Amino acid sequence: MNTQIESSLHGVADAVEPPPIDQVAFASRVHSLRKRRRTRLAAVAAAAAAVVVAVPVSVTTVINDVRSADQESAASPTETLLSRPAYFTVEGRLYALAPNGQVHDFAVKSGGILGSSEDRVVAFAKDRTLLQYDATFDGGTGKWSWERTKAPLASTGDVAVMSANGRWLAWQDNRGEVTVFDYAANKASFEIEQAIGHPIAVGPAGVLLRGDRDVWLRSPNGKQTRIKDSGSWATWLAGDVLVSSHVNRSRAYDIVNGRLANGVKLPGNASLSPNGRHISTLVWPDGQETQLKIWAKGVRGWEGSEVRGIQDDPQVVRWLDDETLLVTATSDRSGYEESVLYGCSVISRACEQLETPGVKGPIDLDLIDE
Amino acid sequence: MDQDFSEFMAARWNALYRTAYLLTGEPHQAEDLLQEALAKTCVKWNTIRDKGAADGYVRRILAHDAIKGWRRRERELLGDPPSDVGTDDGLARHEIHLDLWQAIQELPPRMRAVLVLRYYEDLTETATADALGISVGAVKSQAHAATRRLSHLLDEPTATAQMGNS
Repeated sequence: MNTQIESSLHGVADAVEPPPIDQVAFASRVHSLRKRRRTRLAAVAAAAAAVVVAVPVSVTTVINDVRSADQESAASPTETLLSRPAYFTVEGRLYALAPNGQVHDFAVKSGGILGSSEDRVVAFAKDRTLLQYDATFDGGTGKWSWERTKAPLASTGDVAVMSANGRWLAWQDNRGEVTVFDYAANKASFEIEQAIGHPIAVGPAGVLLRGDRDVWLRSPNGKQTRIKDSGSWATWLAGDVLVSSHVNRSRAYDIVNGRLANGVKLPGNASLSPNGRHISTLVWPDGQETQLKIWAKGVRGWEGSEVRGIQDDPQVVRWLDDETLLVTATSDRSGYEESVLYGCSVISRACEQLETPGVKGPIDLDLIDE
Repeated sequence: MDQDFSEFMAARWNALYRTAYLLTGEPHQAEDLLQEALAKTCVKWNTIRDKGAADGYVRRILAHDAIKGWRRRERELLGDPPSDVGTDDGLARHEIHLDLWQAIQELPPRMRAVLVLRYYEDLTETATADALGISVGAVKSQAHAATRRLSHLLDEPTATAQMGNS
């Protein structure tokens, strides 16, 4: 097979006829890149100057009872809007950003974050084993600390999902059995022998299984419901809501007695908050700036409003809790050169950049592409 | 524009374009990807001390951008049929493994990048890991998983899907 792959790639490459260099387009691109860099540097300088003359004020509309500046870091951390630690990776290395602005380096290589809660983070190691760290907040010192603990399973193969609120972990073993583990009870919530598919989302309503052709919602009491799915690339299950998300269109449903009801269309790529109270959408209109919206359920259904304060181009959105959204953004749309982290408050619909002192490289909230 | 850089770009354009094409599978995206990578290289040209390593610098940006920045477009392509390489890109005239190439295009971007760097660029596992910013173990597992998937897609026994070490 290796020889065939090599032969195929070389065959294709040899057959391709490279176009001539479009020097005009290239010069324009270089000019644009340099201009963006200058603009960004100027903005950073202006922001730094503003901090000198003004008392820095964090957005504190979200509950945040951590008040200590961690002395362990050489940099001076700044209080954030986070209510609990946020987790991210930078070029495969796992980090935590505590609410007080302190960055914790786990000093491990990770294939991405599976999920987190106030109490723990679960991530893939590079070899697909699971890394689990329990988080503890010391009210006396105002510091968070982490301890490596044993995950409910050692290795997942390729199939494991965690609920957005970090309570449930679902996986499929190599015999096809699906297990849903409940961290609150510290035991398996239920198991499915000969599961109809592999888990793609888990929440209080049960576990979503993707089979060969369909997606099924399997409730904890054994009820199995087929769900129409047109090839969504992400599905979210939280509270009594299910969101099926494509790149430019999404649908949100209520889950009523194990069945989907009240389906509504949402623009763009959606994600659901950990307890199903809010939905975020990212829309990439042609030739226009990316639009980030937060939707809340009102009397007339889901109502969205735009989120402000992100200077760059939003890339990946993840909910920290039902009141806080994490967003990575980049100025060059590649996610390679510059990728910074923002926190957005649901209440104020405003975002602020979260400083990550000592961390260099593009910040990622996503799993690796598997 | 720096004369050295212009010469570098002129000399390496064709080869790098072929790599970009293998990473994207689409000629316009390949050109766009390569232009962006070279523009970034141009902006930082003066800071690249070892100009002999510039090729690797561009390749690293290509691979990163193909995986991360182009994820959005990968998602947009979900549900769409694979591109017809036999008619659009002038490949039909050549004796190539079209079935295998189509299967490679269906792999996730990171897996495809691992295959391109290992089997087209002929990088070692260590060099591939360095280019992609991942561990050697991840390169092995991605390559192994890719080979298994390709075997499955082509309905071949996975027993033949063993990776060789560099």
